[in-house]
Amino acid sequence: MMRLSSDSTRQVRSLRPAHSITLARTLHPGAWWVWAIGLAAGASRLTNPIGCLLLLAVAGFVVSARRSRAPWAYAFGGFLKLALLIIVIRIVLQALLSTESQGVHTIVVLPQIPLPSGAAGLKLGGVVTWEAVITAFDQGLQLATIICCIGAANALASAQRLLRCLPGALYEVGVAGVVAMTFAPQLVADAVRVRSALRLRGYDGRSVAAVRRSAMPVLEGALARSVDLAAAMDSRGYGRTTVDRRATRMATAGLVIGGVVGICAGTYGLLGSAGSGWMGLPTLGLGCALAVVGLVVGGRRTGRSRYRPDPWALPEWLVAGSGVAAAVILFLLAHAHPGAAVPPYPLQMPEVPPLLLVGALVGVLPAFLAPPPPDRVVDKGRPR
Amino acid sequence: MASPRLALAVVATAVGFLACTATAPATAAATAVPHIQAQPAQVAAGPIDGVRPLTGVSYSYWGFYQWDRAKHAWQFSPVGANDKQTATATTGAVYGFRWALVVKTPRPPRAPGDFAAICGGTKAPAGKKRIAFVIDFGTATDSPSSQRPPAPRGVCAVVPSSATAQQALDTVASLRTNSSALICGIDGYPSSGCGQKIANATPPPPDGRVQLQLAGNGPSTDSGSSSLPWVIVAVVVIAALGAGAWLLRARRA
Repeated sequence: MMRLSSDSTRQVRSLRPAHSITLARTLHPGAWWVWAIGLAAGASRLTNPIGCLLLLAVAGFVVSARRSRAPWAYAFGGFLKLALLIIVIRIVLQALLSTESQGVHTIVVLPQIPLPSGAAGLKLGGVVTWEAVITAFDQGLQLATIICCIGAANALASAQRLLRCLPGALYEVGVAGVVAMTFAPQLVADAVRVRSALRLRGYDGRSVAAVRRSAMPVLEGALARSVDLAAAMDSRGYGRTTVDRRATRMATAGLVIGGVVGICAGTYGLLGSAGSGWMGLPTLGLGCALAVVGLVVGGRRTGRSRYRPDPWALPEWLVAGSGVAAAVILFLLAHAHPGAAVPPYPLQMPEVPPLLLVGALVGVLPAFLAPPPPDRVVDKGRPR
Repeated sequence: MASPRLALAVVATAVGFLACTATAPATAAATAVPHIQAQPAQVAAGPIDGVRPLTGVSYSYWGFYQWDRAKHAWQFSPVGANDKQTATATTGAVYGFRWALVVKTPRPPRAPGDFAAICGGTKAPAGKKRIAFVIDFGTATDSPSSQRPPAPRGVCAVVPSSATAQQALDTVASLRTNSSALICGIDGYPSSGCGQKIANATPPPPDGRVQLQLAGNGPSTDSGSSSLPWVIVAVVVIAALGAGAWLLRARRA
């Protein structure tokens, strides 16, 4: 794209339909993941319940506005239920089992089972205080928000399309991922189809005999499909290596693994508030650099082609940028108003500085800036 | 302690970024603080016997002390302020809290734990106990930021006989604790953070004696957050987004 230089081609590029934010198309899955990880990273700095609820509402709104009709698009509801479960478990564990965060405002006194003195920090029953319950709720809500942000990415982006974007150096992983992602759902669909066919013929679909009877057609279908997929992948150059030197392979693998470990350590240092200096940004930067070098070196060794690659155009930049902006604003907030990001007194109304609202609302922009998914727009009679 | 967590983070990221981001904040809180008040084992290896300064790292934190009436001196508490053991204290116990930069020796409150002076004028009904607290906010050199330490104060808590030291203190001062119930701030001092790690700190000058302020029994009012309008705006925004999501879902389902 950078090679286009004359004025006329630049004009053509600016008119590329991929840059339109209203033309219905599927957004690049990487953009949704950057957006979601940005929101999750922001939430990792907040135990302010209002801030977390804001982020939850933002994620839910964007999912409702921009999800497709694909099966995975309905995943967000499941993540919301998981979030509720997390909050309930957190409250029960912390209020009933932990002696930590116990204040003085008692809700109820349960009968207490005495534990040996070795069980420091543990109790069974006893006093349940408002402080313990509200602290547990805030922390559970934070974890739930992070999980729901990731759930939003799952609902909005197709995992198969994301795997297709894997760089060439990781193609073994990509092949395994594509095969798994394609076959698990198809296997289930096959099994359901065969079982309903059995039941239509008057058999009980759940007995051991029925399982034995349906195993054969299901496996047969899976084998047929795997042969088809293998042929399709073969025709696109999967499995063909252009550079076959052992040293290059080892160097690539070392660079990528070292880079991924560096990225993990750096992300942990950055997201966890452990705050030891060497583990934060420097490690992340080093890891990213290593990984990029490894991917570039490794990418040269495969020569596969892509079938209709997803473009990365203006809407992708806007969506990814909104997630990054939300994360940056919330990190700034945690730095400037630590008392608002992590409310010190659980029983007081948490502070809400305007920056918190701005940070969360930047995250809602993809609901308007991302192009609508094609299968939603067809209903209204607009062209695809 | 860090390496299993790191390994956990590596494994989790291999599974997916989900697990990595989900566990990091939950586990990170535990590493954020030098475990001084809450864990007896670490206290024993801490500033008292001078093990920690060998590493060149010092901490400033709220130290928890108990007044030893026989020796007429402060003793670094072997247990945390929220430990069940402190609940067995009866009327007459004196606890000290001192914010200090600890390099080699423990730095107890700079005023003696005079129970009669602090709790002498207070009566306790049956079933309750009187606990005296000496809260010493330290000197300006101990301060982690530009925040000026308030004057040291003595206060008497009248609490149920089963209350721990931390619960008793909670009734007479506003406590800011972290997720492990470690005391990070008392009466808004310091206003943020939870203990501070300082590399290669120079030992502070020896402490003199100070006079306690005994007036004003009750938590100081530091809740000056006047952001209620923004809270209302935030709640309205949450409601609007939630309703919008619901409507879009209903329209498109």
